Amino acid sequence: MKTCARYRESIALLAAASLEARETAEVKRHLEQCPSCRAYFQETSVLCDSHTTASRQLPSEEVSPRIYARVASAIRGRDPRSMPGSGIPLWLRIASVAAVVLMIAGWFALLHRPTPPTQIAGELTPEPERKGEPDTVSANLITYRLALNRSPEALDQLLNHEAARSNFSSEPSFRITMARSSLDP
Amino acid sequence: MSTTSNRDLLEPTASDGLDLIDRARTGDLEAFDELCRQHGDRLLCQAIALSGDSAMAEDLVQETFIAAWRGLPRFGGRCHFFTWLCSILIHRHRNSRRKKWPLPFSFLFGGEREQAENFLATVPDLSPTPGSSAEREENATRVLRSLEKLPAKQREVVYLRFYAGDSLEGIAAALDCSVGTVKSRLFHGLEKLRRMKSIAENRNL
Repeated sequence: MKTCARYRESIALLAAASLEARETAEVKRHLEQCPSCRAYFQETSVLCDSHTTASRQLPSEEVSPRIYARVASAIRGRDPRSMPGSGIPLWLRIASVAAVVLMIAGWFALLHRPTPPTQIAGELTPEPERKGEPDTVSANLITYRLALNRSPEALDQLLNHEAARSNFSSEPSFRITMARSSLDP
Repeated sequence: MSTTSNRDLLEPTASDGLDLIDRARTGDLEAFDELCRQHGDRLLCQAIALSGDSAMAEDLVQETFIAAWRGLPRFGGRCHFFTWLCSILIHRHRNSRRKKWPLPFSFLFGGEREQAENFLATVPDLSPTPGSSAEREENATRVLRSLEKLPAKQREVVYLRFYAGDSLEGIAAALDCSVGTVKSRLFHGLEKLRRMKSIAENRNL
C-alpha cells in the first residue's frame, strides 16, 4: 500500500489516539482525499483496537497477601540497600565501618603499648656523679634496688652499663662493689 | 475512525495518590504498602499476561514493587504511577527472559520472519469474539504476547501505550526519553506489527 510518506507517521499516531490536536485536523483532511492513506489508517486502527480490547480482557487476578508481606519484609530489611534513594553501595558501607573499627583499634593499641625491656637500663641509669653532693651514693643505691626489683638481669645490665662508662676506673669499680654488697641480703 | 481516548478507558478508578507517593518517598512504609495494594491487582494481570505463568508473575510483581521502593526518589510524577510501575515490570520481565534464554530466538532457530508469521497466524481477529470469558482472556493474552516479536524499545512503548494507557508524555517520562523518541518507536512498532499481521493473513489466504 503506497501512502503519502509525509503523513504516514501522523496517520499511525492518529490511529493510536496519540496525535497532537494541532496536527489532527490536517491529517483528517488528507484522509478524506486520499484512499490509499485512508486504507492504511483503517488497517492500523484495527491493529490498535485489538490491543486496546486485549488490555481490557486480560485475566484478572488478585495479589496474594503474602506478596505484600514479602515486599514489606524485604524493604524493612535485612538489606540496607532497600532504603528509598539509597545509592551507596553495600560494599562501600562495609568498608567504611571496617575502616572506623580499625582506626579505633589502632588508637587503643597505641595507648596501651607495652614498654620495651631494653629501655630499663637506660631509665635506671643513675645520674652522673657530682662532687660534693652527699646523696649521690644513696641515689645510686636506690637505682640499683629498683633494677634488682625488676630482675637480677636488669641489675646486671645496669652495672655493666656503669662499668662501660667508667672505663673500669677504680673509683667506679668501688661504687659497683659497694652497690652489690649493699644489696646483698 | 477511532476517536475514543484509550487513556480515558484505562484510567484507574483510584487516584494516583500523590500524597501517598510523597509520604512513601520519605520512608513511610505504610503509605507505600497502600500504593502497592492500589495497583497490585492490575500489575499482576499485566505480569501474568507477559509471563504466562502465575508463579513467575507473582515474582515479577514482588520484584517490581521492591525496585519501585528503591527508585521512588527518581519518580518525578510526570507520568501515572501505574505507568512507571509497568515500565519497571517490563524491564524485569525482559531481564528474566534473558536469563532463561541468553540467545535470541531468531539466532537459535533462524527465520525470525517465519516465526513471526507462524505466531501471528494464531492471533485472532479484532472483532469481538463470542464465547466464554476464558476464551477472551486467552485471546487477549495472545494479542499481548504478539508484542514479543518487537525490538525491546518498541515493545516497551507499544505496551505502555495500550496496556498502561498513558499519554506519550507520560511514557516519555517513565522511560526517561523525549516525546519525539516515543512517537518514533510507537510508529515503527505499529508498522512492524501491521506488516507481520499482513504477511500472516496473506499466507492464510
